[in-house]
Amino acid sequence: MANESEVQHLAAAGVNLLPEGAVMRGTIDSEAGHQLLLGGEFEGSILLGGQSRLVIGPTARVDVELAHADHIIVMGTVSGTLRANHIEIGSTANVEGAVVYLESFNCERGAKICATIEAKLAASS
Amino acid sequence: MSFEIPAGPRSLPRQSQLEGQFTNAAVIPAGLTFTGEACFPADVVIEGHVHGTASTPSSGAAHIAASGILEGSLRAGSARVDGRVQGHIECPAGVVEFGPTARCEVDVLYLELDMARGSNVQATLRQSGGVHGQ
Repeated sequence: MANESEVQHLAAAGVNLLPEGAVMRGTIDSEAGHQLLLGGEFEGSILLGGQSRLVIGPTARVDVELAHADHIIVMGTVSGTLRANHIEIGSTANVEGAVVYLESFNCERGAKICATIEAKLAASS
Repeated sequence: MSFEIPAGPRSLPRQSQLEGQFTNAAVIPAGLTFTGEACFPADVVIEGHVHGTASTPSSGAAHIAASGILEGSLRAGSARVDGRVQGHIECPAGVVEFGPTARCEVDVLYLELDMARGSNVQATLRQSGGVHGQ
């Protein structure tokens, strides 16, 4: 499970797309396999292809129609639909909406989830 | 499994008045497209593609890197352009720099202007009274 030190590592690596205090409304689209850290407010859609990783940090407030990536890590507040091969929900997360995973799902004790969880595993599809 | 991590922190070509900024900037990385409206609390580096508007406070700076494309509006304390811009740049209390690789069709509101030889800029230029927010 990702922890705060991993968030700090990602931020130090220069992939802090949305730092705390920033606000973005719209669509983020990439096929380049980015690792992105969100710490601010976002409203819209996030569509990341390739070996992408989306980290929704503890300070982030994200309202998405759809967030799609290879790997999504949530430590902040999210409402909407999350879809990824791998989804990890941290203990500080607050998730509302729908969670769809294709390979793995992990949730830490303490997380607040008010959402539907749907597995679309390869074996069951 | 491996991930590509863009190099950071970001730096500018030498002799820029904005040297030393962007070390803790928000980054829109190359290969990523953002469509919409973005408001950053400090500096921002655009290496990818932005359709829409981006803004920083008067203390913030924006850098359109050589790989960066902005189609829309930028409002910032100061700005450096090494990439492509089509639209508007407003830095009424700061400097707007166009590097030698800049390719722009812009309306520019600036306090100070710096345009490098080699830049290709088609612009309407206006000098401001120096107050961010006007």
